[in-house]
Amino acid sequence: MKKGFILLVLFVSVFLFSACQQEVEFDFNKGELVVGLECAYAPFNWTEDDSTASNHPIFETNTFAEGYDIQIAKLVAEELELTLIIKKMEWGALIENLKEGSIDLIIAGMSPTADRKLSIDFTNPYYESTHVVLIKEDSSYVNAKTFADFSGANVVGQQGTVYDDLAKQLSEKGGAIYQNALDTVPLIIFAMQSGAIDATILEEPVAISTVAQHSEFTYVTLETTFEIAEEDRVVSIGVRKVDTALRDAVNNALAKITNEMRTTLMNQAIDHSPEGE
Amino acid sequence: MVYIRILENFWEAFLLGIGYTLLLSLVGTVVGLVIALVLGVVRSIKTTPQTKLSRFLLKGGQALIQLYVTVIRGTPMMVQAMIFYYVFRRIGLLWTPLEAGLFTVSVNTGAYLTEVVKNGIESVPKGQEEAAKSLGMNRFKAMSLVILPQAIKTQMASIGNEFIINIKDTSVLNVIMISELYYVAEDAAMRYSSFLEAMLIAAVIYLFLTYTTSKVLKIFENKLGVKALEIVSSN
Repeated sequence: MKKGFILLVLFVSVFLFSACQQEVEFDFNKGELVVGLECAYAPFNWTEDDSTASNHPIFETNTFAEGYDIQIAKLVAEELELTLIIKKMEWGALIENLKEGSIDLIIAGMSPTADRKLSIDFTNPYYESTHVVLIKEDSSYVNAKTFADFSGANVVGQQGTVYDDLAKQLSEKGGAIYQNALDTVPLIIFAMQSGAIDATILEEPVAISTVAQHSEFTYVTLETTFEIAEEDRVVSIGVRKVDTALRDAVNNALAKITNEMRTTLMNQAIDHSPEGE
Repeated sequence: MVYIRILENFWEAFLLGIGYTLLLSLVGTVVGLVIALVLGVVRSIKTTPQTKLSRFLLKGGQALIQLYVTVIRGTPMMVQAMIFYYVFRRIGLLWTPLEAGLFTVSVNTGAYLTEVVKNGIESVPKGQEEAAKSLGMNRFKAMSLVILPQAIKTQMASIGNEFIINIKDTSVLNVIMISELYYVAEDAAMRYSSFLEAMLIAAVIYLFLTYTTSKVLKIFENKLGVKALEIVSSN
């Protein structure tokens, strides 16, 4: 009885503690800008073993981060006159870490969805993309043009991303068979190589770099368009809700990166994406 | 509050997740026990058969069982699930995620319980077998009617413990696209960017499931008249 009561008190206090976490505000005087990302989401970000002129060391490791996000992060940090620190963490832990204050910005190819906006704020977009369907080159879907062409195909998306919602769309409107979402894109690639999955939805740059790594894959751009809110087509930088000053400063920095520059940076990122086997 | 929003929108998914978790762990434990009963009996045979061929078959069989137990107990269930589902497709085994999941848990439980069954058989006094034989029972009858029931009874706590472990360990099966309880919690966590809250909800549900299960097992054990044993986790 007594033990049960202590347990109950413990649980309740953890719940209360989690409910009233205080957000820390960004301090421009600290001279550092800590950016969190996955380092496993090419071409937006990935991990390299050797230092190059364009990649950036990952905090507390001997590895280096490279990709479109890293180039944007470097430009933003430079504009804000802050030293850039890149922290690598799991996708699912990014927002939690931002709220807790162990990172200042999320630059991780993240779309500013309404659900995410409940807990954090986003800057203006720093990339806009089209969604395509990744398939195997020898599959019967290579000439697919509409949703209905995927009737009967096993389709999956990455868990917690818009890809999962789009997999559901392909299933509801085209008769594809929706499978429960998988955790990472590499796991989806593995599932497709095994034949368990026929199709997955990706943003075009991710699809391009996947095809560059795995020659047995290709992708199709459909004539029927997915219903995607603008917030899901663009990627933005995540900031804490209290950090309005930081958000405005980042927006100013982003405004100085022209569209041509963004395209060039993305093309470079795709070209330099890690080569697979 | 995030908790309310998660429960409001995900309660059906959570119920379904609980269903999958219980289905996987219950079927896995029962089928695993059946596997273990067969393999445990073979493992416990100590007499040397007469003919060369049956000697060879017994020794070979026991070595294979030992290999199965070592490999399955020595590798993570998550890796096994991925191999059984994704890699086995290449050799033409086109099963659904749920079928592969049930297979994984059963094979896993079978490996852990084989040792348990063997220990149970060894704990039954030798006089029992001799008494059964003196009543005219053959070896099969003596084993299935006299020794095994007593062996299972003494190992009831370990078997129940394996069921409880399965409830928690099936949480890795989302890698083969099964929407068990942890998968649902992860989904909710990502939807609302609230990992702590979703994981705490999952933890409370898991705790409820394991606690109720252990209480039910205790009642069952008392009915069987098994003395409460100190359980040492097999994981």
